[in-house]
Amino acid sequence: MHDGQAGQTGAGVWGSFFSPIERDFLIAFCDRLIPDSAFGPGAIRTGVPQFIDRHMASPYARGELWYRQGPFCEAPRLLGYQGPLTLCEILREGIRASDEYCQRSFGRRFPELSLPERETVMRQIEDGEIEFAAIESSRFFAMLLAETRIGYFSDPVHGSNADMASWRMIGYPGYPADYREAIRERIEPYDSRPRSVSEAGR
Amino acid sequence: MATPSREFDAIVVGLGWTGSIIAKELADAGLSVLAFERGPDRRSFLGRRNHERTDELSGSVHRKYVQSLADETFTVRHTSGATAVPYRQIGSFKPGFGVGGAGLHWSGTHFRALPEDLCLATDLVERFGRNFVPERMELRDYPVTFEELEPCFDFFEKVCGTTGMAGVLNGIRQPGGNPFEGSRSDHFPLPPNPLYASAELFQGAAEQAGYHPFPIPASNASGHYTNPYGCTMSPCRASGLCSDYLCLNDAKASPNLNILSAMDGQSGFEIAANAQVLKVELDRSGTRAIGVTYLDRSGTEQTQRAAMVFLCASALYNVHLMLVSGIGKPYDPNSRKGVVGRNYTYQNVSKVNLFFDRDVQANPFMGIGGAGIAIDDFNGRQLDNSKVGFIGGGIIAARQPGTGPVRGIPLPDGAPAWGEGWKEAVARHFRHTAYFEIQASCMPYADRYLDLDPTYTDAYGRPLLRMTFDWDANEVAASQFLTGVARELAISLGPLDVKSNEKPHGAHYDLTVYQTSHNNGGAIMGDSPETSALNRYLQSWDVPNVFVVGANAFPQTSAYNPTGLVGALAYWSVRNAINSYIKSECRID
Repeated sequence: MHDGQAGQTGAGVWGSFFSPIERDFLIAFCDRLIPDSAFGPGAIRTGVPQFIDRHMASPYARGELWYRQGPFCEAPRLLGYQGPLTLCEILREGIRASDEYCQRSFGRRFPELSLPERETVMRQIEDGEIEFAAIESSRFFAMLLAETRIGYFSDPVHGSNADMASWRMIGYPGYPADYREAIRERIEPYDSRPRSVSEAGR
Repeated sequence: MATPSREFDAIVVGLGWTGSIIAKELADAGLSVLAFERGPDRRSFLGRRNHERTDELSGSVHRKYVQSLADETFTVRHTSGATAVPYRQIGSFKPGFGVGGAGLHWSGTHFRALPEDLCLATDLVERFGRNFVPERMELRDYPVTFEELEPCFDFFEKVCGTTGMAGVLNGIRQPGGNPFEGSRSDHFPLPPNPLYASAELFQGAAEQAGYHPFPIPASNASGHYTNPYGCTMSPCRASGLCSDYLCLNDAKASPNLNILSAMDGQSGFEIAANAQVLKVELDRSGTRAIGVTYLDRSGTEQTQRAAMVFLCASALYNVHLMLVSGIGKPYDPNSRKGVVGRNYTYQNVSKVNLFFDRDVQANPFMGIGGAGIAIDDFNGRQLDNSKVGFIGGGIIAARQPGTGPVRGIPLPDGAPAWGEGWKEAVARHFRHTAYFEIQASCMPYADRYLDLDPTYTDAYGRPLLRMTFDWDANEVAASQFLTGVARELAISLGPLDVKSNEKPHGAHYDLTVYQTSHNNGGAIMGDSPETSALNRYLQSWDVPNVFVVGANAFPQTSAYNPTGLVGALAYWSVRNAINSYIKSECRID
């Protein structure tokens, strides 16, 4: 197996959580969170929206690792999210509310906005300036940004980070996990092509 | 699997570090032991490198080896007047789960205690007079001295293959070690690991500033090692997959590798995994435990009888089990009476990031769990508390347990959080960012405590444990002072930028961001049943055939990581139980 083919299991394959309209939103949003450029790959090229869609099926996103008994009370933000929704429900609700806001303000859905318009709306969501009904907009933004980064940087076995392009950009070697000798080096940058978990043992 | 009808000499509840130590010592003394563990049996993880374990998504996002909060958690509030809400998503601390407990996914930092940490209340009076400690602080001496514990510290290091350099050996200072440590009876079992770049930089800066840097004691093997039980460790490969992860190389000490692997097939010892203990059953007098009630792996409630019960479920869950079982009088913050739940403390940590230019190969993806370089110049008796404006102390260290991009890439203040600018910043900084950490003490206060929540329950119908905790001005002052020292050391190295997260004035406890899993106190050891739940052997004052082993016993949090002291106290407790309690069946006095 040579560079560029390593571990692209499921790359670019959608899951079954988001609807076509929600997928369009994710593509337009993630594209601005991590844009593509000559400097390095963006979220779309590396399959992040598809990763997020598939990740919504995990126990993690379905709230199975969260304590979810009520009552659901107002509490200081430092005590964490106290609402009844799961991560995948928060993303769905945030997408719906964001699109609704864009319809109201621009007469168009989020993916139909110009790039500067999109970024303006995104900053408002990030700063919590837009009121969503079921979830604070800033919390939605933080959670979607976290999912986007996770998809961008995860091992290609999870279906994103095609070509390990994000790892190449930052110089992360991925799987090797054996630096007994390299840890003593002070001058030379650690130099190794990145490797996916899928290449282990080869 | 346990035979419910049979009576065991001892039940151990929770099979992490303390449970494994207790079980091993009891079984070696010829007693029959049944260890309950609510999570899965993870003994089979040992052995070959398992590549899936390098995956950051499962390790640090899904947190595969940490307790899910779905069934059991805690409620938290900042003040006793407020309504507590549940700890719903993992943030501030990570409870262990499964055989090995948090001893599987810890980093490996393995300090002893300073002698003065164990007699802090007396020490402060001697140094600064009777009126120095504010009335709201519930400081207590440990009812055991460093000298008494020394053989246990020593033995636990030998069990763990701890690496380090002696600073004081049989009263004589040794070059290269921590000159402020309590006198040791022996060297560390293994020499220190090689230094990574950030530790080397820290060492240079600390020496330049006139401090006394020393290798952090760490149970990450620097060479091949066989411990007193015959268990073998391999040299650490600096994988940078320590905290959150199971060691790839049998290099990080764990209960599974360093104790339980020697107990395979040991007669008289059984493990019941996936078995949730619900409460300790007491006899009609309420002064004697007769066994425990638990859910077996099919979810059926069972009762298991035993002559002794050792609670080893970690500080918070030990306190929870005591409260739901009616062992010891619950603490009342208004009268300041009662003992179970008092003196809850939480380690006070902060960090300084150093953003270097491309010529510094910090390589944060490499790492050796607990290893690195620390200074103790602002800890214990080295610090003049009358001058710095707070009680307690801290260590400042360069430690690098390793990180990868999914775990987060720190960026300088002002860097964009997304967009093209973020992308360029992470590419620019990832390989060239180091950090120093500050780990400070936390004093106990009359109004910070644990009790049972009136509203929320766990999946088994028991009330959740409620935590009333916030940062006191004393801890904020410590955070600011110590982080300031670390910042100066960082700046002396000439990085492009420095960023730190000392607690600001009026800081509140943040449950959402991981800080440390050093939750201490709540069922403390002491010399009086009026002010402590446990005697000096970690034996319940009220129910003498129950021993409560863990960081719950700490009267306050010192600067050091707790595991070394927790392990030593476990050996101290069980050896005294074997030598004294079992013969007399009464309180060890």
